[in-house]
Amino acid sequence: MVRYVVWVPVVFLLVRSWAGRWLWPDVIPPEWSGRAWGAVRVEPVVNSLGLAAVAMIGAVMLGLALAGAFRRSAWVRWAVLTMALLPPLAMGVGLHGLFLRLGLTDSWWGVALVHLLPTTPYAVMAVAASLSRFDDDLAAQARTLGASGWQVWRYVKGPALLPGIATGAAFAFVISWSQYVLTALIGGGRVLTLPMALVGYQKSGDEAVAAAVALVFLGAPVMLSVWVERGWE
Amino acid sequence: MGEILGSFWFTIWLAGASTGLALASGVTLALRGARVMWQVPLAMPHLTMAVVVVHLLAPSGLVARMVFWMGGIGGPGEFPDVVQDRWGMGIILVYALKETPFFALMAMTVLRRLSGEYGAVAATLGAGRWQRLRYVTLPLLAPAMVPAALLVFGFVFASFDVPFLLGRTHPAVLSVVAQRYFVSDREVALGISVGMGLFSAGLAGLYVRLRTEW
Repeated sequence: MVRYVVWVPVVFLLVRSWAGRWLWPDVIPPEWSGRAWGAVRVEPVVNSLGLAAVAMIGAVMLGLALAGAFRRSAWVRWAVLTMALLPPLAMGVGLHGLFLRLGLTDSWWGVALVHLLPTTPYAVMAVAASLSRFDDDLAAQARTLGASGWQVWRYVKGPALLPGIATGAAFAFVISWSQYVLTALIGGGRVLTLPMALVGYQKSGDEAVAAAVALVFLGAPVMLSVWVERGWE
Repeated sequence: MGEILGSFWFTIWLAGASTGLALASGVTLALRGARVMWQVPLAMPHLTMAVVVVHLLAPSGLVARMVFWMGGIGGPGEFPDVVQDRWGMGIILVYALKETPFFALMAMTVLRRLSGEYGAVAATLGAGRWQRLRYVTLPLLAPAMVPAALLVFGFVFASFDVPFLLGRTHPAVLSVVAQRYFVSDREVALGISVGMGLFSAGLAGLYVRLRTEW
């Protein structure tokens, strides 16, 4: 029974998005309509996917660069954790002035850059977790056998860190994908993403379109997590 | 200032209540060995969950309609407002539902490693079901669950989107209050942001000290 409870929100959103006018006191939708799905725009989907892709690549690269320091120093761990727990609103308010001077507000790349802040800490932690399971002697052995620095990375260390890289990338994707307030503050409403569209429709009271957007918004992270899970089995 | 302090306590209340509920239900589900497709709720964005909760539980939502249909209430005004109430029940519900799988997965990872041997020893020594849970299983779970709870607490404390969508104008969480000031008085918004940042840095410090394995 509990097993199927997780599907309740999905089934409800499907019904709500295909129901037309569905007002009190109707328990069963009196009519069906494709209007809500017709109103779903492509632009927020493209923006959200693009921003999440940039965040994934950027956060994983920063994660690889910082994971070693994270393992060694408690201060770095504290700094990374603080970044992870810092309220997105505080980040946005704090950086708005700087981004304004740099001409990065109201721009797609400004938003992409600021998405690196909440995503990078999780990539660092994921890569560091893989790094802690990696035996450094393996790299030393490869070097003794004459492998170059690049070869050690390509054939020994990189493959060993792959699970951490994949987990970090998935985290970065989901966090960037769900980001609302940072996008709103730095993008100034010009960069329209899925969470912004969702909040907009919900606040304006158009429940059917909000439900359709919520389903689109739900799709990518669920597919991603199922795929990551399958990969390990 | 009084407004900001009140909003600080409201934020603490929401974070504490959601974390406590999610922890309790997550550990319970893990102990009962519930087989659930955790990926769905785990990956579901908070805003999606918030939209579902509003549509289902609002005073004219689907649940109220079912109660009306069964004759429980006479109209939408009689259904208790759990979505935009004084205590933020709707927000707590969203986070409790969303974070339950996180705690459940974490507890299941620990339980799998334990493989029941400690419990078996305690049983041999005459410990009952409740005693095994209280003195064996829960203490073994604590080292993993306490830092996890701290993380969730910090996350809910920091959050903006769900309280923004679900909450009332008053009381509002710190992030929402700061966002309002950002439009009217930027200095105050910066002040609240710095305060929240310091609080988060403190939580992060605690987490780093509590977690021993990295």
